[in-house]
Amino acid sequence: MSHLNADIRIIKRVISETFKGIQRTRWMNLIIITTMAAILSIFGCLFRTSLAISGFVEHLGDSLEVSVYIKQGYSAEKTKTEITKIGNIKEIKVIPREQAWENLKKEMDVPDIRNPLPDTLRLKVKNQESIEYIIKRIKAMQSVESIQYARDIVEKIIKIGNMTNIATFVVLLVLGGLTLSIINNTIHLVIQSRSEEIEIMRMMGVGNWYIRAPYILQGAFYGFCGALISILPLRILENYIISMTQFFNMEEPLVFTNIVVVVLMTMGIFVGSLGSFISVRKYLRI
Amino acid sequence: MIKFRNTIKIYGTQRALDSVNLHIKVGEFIFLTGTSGAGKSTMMRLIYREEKPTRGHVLIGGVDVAKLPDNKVPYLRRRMGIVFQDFKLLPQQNVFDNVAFVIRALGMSDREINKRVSGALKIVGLFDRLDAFPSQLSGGEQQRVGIARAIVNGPPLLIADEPTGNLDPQTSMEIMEILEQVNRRGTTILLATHDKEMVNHFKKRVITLEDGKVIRDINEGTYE
Repeated sequence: MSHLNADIRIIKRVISETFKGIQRTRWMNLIIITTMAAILSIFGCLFRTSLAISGFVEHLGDSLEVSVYIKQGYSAEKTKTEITKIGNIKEIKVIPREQAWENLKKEMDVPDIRNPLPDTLRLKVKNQESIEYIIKRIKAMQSVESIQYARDIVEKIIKIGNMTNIATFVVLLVLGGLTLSIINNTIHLVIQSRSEEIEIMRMMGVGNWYIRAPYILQGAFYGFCGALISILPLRILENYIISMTQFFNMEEPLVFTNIVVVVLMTMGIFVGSLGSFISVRKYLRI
Repeated sequence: MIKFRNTIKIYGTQRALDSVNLHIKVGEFIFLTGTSGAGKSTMMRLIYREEKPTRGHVLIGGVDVAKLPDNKVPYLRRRMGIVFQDFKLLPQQNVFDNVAFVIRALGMSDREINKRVSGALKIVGLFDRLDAFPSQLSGGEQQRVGIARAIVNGPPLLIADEPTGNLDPQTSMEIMEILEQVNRRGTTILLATHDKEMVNHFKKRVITLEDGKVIRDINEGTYE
């Protein structure tokens, strides 16, 4: 029990040392937190936009239908079963030629001739990227007369989706590296300015982690504050996105912003502490 | 308590310590003398494991410090107090905090810390200056804070590298008297010094180094 109490006291004192350290860093705190906030804002906004684009693309893709026309004399139901077996089909329904003809007659003033329409299958795929493959497989089926779908749109959708994903990833890497190096250098400066104090503590037998932990926590603190501030521009962006999605009459999942906030916080704290951890490992000789 | 066995320390091409054999027993008070560069500081750095011997052994309480893993070094240092020539106090912290920070890091309760710091400051006669900052103290007072910090955890061994080197003769004597008092309470003391008068006055065991070798080791000796 007394051991546990001692550990708790050590943790409390490490935290108190961290805040003393932050206090002593003075104006540098402001610079570093602002820089962190700026970088995380850029990342957060890009990430949020990328999520919105993916959402939009997904939504567009979802409403794209593929029409499969069945040759005369073949069973639409059998073809439906065959297509379902390919997999990745979100929904598929059979529109018998009679029904299609009725629908057409309702919509247009058609002359009273024999029904020229074939049986049709309407389907949606789950994943737009697999659409080419699915189409190829369907085309190869004996019972299929022809296929119709918005090919250009599908291709563009896939391209945009891929590009935003790549852009977000690249930005994540670049900004992550930048943040890491900023924190790393700041903590290096802090360690340098307190090198004598650290030396004394070492000589007196103060434990390695008791000396190191406050610096690592200080880095984490910068990351946390930066992330907290970067939520502000994210909120502003959020309003634009909502008005845009409302224009397209699609529902914007609210969870998107929460995901970005969680990612920003995690990234801020993780990169902040990692940056100072590297600095502490490199410059704080124990 | 401390044993040097054929200890050799080489920096580059220079032999800072050359085949040193020594045995320091519990409770002894030892003056380590010799000119600058004779190897006094190297010897102390080997004891508190700031350096490892190039060859041979340094045993403290039976433990070969060269074999001690790095993460165990703080535990070794907690068993000894170190006093420096330039005091090495934390300038932004007051007397109390300068003495307390070591045992704070060990997780002692505030009550225990108060008790120990007060005790240590009473021994060095600075109990009434708890709130003063190092810049408000004289050299002698600063060194007394240094001693209080070194003894606050009740270490069995105290190492002092020229503790009076920056002080006038009278203040030096006061510091020595405090160290003698600490020694009477059972702490082994190893003190490196240039101060001839002091060595002659206190008549302790004197170990003299020259070019990294022990050239003299006399009980109740004087400065040569």
